[in-house]
Amino acid sequence: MRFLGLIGLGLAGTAAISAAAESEGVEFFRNEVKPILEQNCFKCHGGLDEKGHPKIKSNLQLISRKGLMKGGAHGAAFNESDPAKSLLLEVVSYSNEDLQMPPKGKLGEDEIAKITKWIGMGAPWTPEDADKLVEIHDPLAGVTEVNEKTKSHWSYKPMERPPVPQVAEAEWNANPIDAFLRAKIDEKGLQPVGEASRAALLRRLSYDLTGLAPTLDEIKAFEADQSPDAWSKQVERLLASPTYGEKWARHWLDVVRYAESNGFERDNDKPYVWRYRDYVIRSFNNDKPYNRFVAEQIAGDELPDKTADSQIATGMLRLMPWDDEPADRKQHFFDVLDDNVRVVTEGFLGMTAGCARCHDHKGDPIPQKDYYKFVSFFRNMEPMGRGGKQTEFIEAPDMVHDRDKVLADLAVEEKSIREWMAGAESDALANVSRTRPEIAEKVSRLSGMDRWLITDARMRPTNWYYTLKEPTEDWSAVGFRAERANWQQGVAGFGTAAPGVQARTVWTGQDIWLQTSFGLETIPKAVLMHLYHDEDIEIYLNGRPVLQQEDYTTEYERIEAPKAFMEALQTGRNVLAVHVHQRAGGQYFDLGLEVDAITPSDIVLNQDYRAASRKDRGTYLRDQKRLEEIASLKRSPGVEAMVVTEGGPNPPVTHVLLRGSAHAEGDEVTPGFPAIWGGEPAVITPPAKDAKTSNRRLALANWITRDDNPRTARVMVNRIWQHHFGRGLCPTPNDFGYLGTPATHPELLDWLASEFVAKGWSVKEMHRLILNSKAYRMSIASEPKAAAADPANDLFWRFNPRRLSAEELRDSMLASTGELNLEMAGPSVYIPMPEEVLATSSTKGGKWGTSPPDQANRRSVYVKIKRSLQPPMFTDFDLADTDNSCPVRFSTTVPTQALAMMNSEFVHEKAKNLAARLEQERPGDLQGQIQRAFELVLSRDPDESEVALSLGFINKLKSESQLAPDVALQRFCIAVFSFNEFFYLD
Amino acid sequence: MILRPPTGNFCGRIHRREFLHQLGGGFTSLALAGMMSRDGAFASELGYDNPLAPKQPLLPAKAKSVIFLFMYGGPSHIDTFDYKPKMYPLDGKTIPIKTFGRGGKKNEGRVVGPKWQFKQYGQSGKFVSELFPNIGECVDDIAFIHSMTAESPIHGSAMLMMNSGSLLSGKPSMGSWVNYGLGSLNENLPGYVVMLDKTGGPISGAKNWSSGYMPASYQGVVFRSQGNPILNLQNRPGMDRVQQRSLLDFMGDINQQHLKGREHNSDLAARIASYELAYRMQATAPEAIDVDNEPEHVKKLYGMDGTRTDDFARKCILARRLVERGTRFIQIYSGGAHNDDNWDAHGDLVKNHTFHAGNTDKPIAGLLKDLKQRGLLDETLVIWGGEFGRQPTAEYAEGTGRDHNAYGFTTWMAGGGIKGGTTFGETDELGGEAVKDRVQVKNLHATVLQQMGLDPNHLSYFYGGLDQKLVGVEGADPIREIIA
Repeated sequence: MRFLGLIGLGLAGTAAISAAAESEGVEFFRNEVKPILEQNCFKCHGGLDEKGHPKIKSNLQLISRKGLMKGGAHGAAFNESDPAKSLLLEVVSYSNEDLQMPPKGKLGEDEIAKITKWIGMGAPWTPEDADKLVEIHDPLAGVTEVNEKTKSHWSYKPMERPPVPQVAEAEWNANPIDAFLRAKIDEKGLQPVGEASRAALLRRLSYDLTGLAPTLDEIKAFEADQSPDAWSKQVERLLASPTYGEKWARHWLDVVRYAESNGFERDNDKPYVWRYRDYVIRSFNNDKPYNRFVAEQIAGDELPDKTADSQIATGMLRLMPWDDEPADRKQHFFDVLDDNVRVVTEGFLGMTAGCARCHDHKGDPIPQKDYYKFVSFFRNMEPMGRGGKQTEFIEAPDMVHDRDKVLADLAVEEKSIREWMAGAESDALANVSRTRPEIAEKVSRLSGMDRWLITDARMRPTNWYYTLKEPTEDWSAVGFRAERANWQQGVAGFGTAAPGVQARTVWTGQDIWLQTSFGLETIPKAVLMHLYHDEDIEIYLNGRPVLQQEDYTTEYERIEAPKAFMEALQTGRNVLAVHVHQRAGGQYFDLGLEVDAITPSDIVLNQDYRAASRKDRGTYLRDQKRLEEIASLKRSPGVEAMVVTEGGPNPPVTHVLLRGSAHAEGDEVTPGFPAIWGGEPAVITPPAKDAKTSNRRLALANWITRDDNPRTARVMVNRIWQHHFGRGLCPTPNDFGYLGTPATHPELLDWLASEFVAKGWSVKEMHRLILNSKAYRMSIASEPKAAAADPANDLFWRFNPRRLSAEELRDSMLASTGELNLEMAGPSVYIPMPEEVLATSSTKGGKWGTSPPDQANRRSVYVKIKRSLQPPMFTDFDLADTDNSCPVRFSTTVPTQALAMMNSEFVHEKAKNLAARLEQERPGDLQGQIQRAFELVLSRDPDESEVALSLGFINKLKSESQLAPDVALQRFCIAVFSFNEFFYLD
Repeated sequence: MILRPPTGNFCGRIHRREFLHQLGGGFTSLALAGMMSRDGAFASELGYDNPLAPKQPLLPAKAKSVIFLFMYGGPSHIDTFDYKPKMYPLDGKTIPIKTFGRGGKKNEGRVVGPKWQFKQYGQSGKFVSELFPNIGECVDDIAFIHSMTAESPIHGSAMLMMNSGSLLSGKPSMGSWVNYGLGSLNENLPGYVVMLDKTGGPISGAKNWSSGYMPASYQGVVFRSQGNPILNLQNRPGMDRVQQRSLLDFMGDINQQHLKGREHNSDLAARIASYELAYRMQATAPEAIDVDNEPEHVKKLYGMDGTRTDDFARKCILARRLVERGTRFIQIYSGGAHNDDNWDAHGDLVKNHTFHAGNTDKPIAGLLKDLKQRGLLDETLVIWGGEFGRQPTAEYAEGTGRDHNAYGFTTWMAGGGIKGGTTFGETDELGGEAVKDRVQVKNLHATVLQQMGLDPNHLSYFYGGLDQKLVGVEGADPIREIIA
């Protein structure tokens, strides 16, 4: 916390005015109004706190007329031209829900009356203090203004390519990185340490590039390779491995706060968001130029040469935590934009623009207006869809294949499947009527109202709320009450007419929105939907999308309520919301819900009823699955992905929001770039009249990816450096501003950044450059003189050891047992979650799934990331927090980690599997098993003393604790997983 | 504040390095502070500036520990502690009133009169509903805040608000802040413990005890009053202490050899020490949490007697035992999961509140009395409350259920330097909204920090370009009127 220094209480304008000459207004103020202000307002608006520091909330001083006129964050408190409209009156009257003063409680009516009267008099003030203002000396004031001084701060300056220094030792001149580093080391009169062993180097390199250990054979081959390019061959080999993309994608996913659910009360899934994760992996593996990578994530749908991939990339802007039931929907809309502005500015520009949401930045030259300019680029983005859904079927030239033919083929196939299934159902019903009439009795029927949650028009028509006018965006959300939105009421069915049914409420337009509710005491096992629709229909239950169908039906379809429907059911009140859209011809809608009915498909499939043969049951099941596939194939011309959408080519106006409140609009802003870099307005390609988007994000992407953007290249090369050397050249990778830690080697950073641009923004080229330096190959050894002079290793005179990340630990253990499944891409997998952790969820089982064992053994980057429920093995070892951009992970050492390594089910199971592998590969040969364990976990052979210690330990367990040989070997494996050598890279 | 770096660093903010240097909290401890790697991904050779030094609060601390009894779901203030005699005759009448709950904003509603009678207790004569006859006996130790307001009447965001001071996910919870500021007093036990209801966690689960942008070691550790109390604390079947000792010795031998030439990497020694500490913890923690061996009269006092109060009584006794052993922050949830599994009485208010109050009244009173007779109440701050209160009017056309109400509700505090027998703030005659001495959640948080000896307006953590604070960037005053 920085302190505001009090320079002085200026007492200007103290010309003596005799009390006698005091006007009536001033007298009234002095006697009646000033005491009220003193008691209720001064404390926070110009007074001093207990420690004598001035307190000026919202930048408003109410201790003088000057302060009243000057106003604060919400503007002047007194409106000279129309006193009755003064802000002061508005806030004391408590008429504005978002701004009520004093906060502790409303003033008395008489007090408000006095203030009103005084304001009406023109707000006269006592002359002796009418101009008094508290002056604040802010030590940061110098850096919060855009001026020549702040423009010359190292990271605000334009990027220049500095000359490469020459150092005395020739070998250090070959790679410019070495020359830059060595020059500084020489300057301090220090020496770098020597090169690490080849074994250490390959282990370091393998983990850095792929997150996996090298095999002992790989190390031996490298040690035996005498060619001069032995090292660079290893670099190339690992850069070409697809596991490289998996490792480096994870670094990026930390920055963009990647998670696969929305957080908050329901913590629903973000559908298909894993496509974004796969996109990032692909991008690293294909060495997609970084400028393109950035542009795709911001504006992949607006790029002139957009692809399916570039559209999937915009999923980055949908990764934030999102509250589907916010207390203030409008404010939360801007919370989401804020989250995106933060990630874009911190992630791509190393700029904490988010601090300027409520006021000018307090530590960097970023005016509040700049923040809202950033907001304006995203202002046209549509909010998250109903139930948190924001997916599109991406049509891209590279993905649409001969669509018409595909659709025709599917229709033929669907028809023949449906015919066969109908035949099987009626045969089965006939059989069961004969053998088990009591079962046949339970088959879905239109009598027995107690079995219906909602009856349809064939029985007793249900009364629905409905509207034909497009409702507000939250019409399907939890908490939307149709009766309060003045929807009409009518009985089902709705429409004109349809085969075999009669409409009771006439609906002739294109769209109808309906809502009804039902109560539940217990959750039924199954619900059968009786649905008649013409045409497209979407159904929401308790705010969640549960069913979507296209086209029309010609009879009441019986549909077993889908999983989503059953999961959304709750005891108490349930709200059903429906939207039907007519495309052509007639229109009709009706819906009934029947509980625990036996459906025709039950009759076929339930083995107990003996109504269908085993073969027919099998065919029926396969057909059901195929119908689902067909439905999804019919819907998808391309792939479904979570992406950004905009409502059209014309964005709403963006305002500065005073104090960050969505309800307090200030000046209008238009897209443009930060003042510190010239503040030029954005050049926006005019969108076509029928365009889906405004092209604003494209303008931002174009600016960020300019070769001469002062931050983009610097920020990214710094991240690449960070993940090779353990810290960035600038140690605060998301903050290059005044509050960040200055770069230790700004010249090297600039040189690398310019090289990055010159090499076509190729990330792999940067890896090559860095990895082929001498600096990267230094050992972790210490040296007393250097350690004394530079204990933090700011100069990079030795290599920094590091602990394996949570993902590396898990993946390595799985690799050692031979279980690691290297399958790439696709939906995320669930790993076993301890029961203790599942019990912390508010829903039973935490909505955590189960994947088959081989899937659960995939690399950690493919493990489901659910915001409210994370595997302890990951959180214990400092996984990135999912709600904020994470530029640097913590690396803690705490006893919970030791407990996990000694007692967790996961570690014990891996130890068991490793022991089994050892026994299988070296049957009966304990010494060979020990050797193999070192090889698999540490990528090296044990020395004699280590073998002896291991034998001693295992034998002790056998003799003293009477453990069976296999169990003793498992204990040994637990120990090996806990060796410091396994956890730390040299 | 207490973590201001000694060097005149730019604007006095904390670098991650310096901060980690002095780290200790969560499930670590003062003794473990030195085990934290000091710069993210790698170790350095900076000497330790006595990282084990206890973190002394800068302000005089009244309390050493906090027990937050979280009545999840939102108990009705007007049926518990906020006596509204004029409401009884209005029962069933439809009146104009502004409310905002999960059913949206309304301008009128049918009054549901208080469903319980109130009676006066203690010297202070405080009116308490018959739902809490036992807590009623403790009113002279309690300060009631009737003028609480929150920013959201929706569970998800309101829970985050009450726990972390923000409607948005991703901020550290109050227990994390306390441990960040003060560290733990016992290296063998976590400094921040959370006990959940047996029906499940609250909405948003672990986000409620998250450490947000701080290291995960500051997050709450979930304790269970039955079964395996802490994840991974117990050995797996077949593994005993003797084997474990051999295992540690063997690992120690190998690690010692590995240490040669790497002595400068202090993380390596810290890791070795962390295993020894975990091993000791496994031995001492079970004793600390063994509530079954409490004397009969103590069990009786709390209601640990096999009846409906047994479960919450165990948790309250466990909380007291943890306080005795130096745990800084303990949160116990009454209610879990959804709907009537917690205080969220939308349907049948009488059934819901009778159930939850009946389960907790005696254990809570037992806790207050027990702490007092041990002389611990003075240094233990007990907080009772939910994420919001409930409306004076009915939610549905029929029945007694009340919707959420963030415009005004009651939270109470006891012990830890709080002035007992106090009533602060008022809601209107119907309990619809706070009208006098209104306070916000951040004032409650400021009060807790203040009593713990932390300056709420200066305890900060630098993240994302800001000195982040529990009470928000604008700061907040503690509620001085209830401080002794």
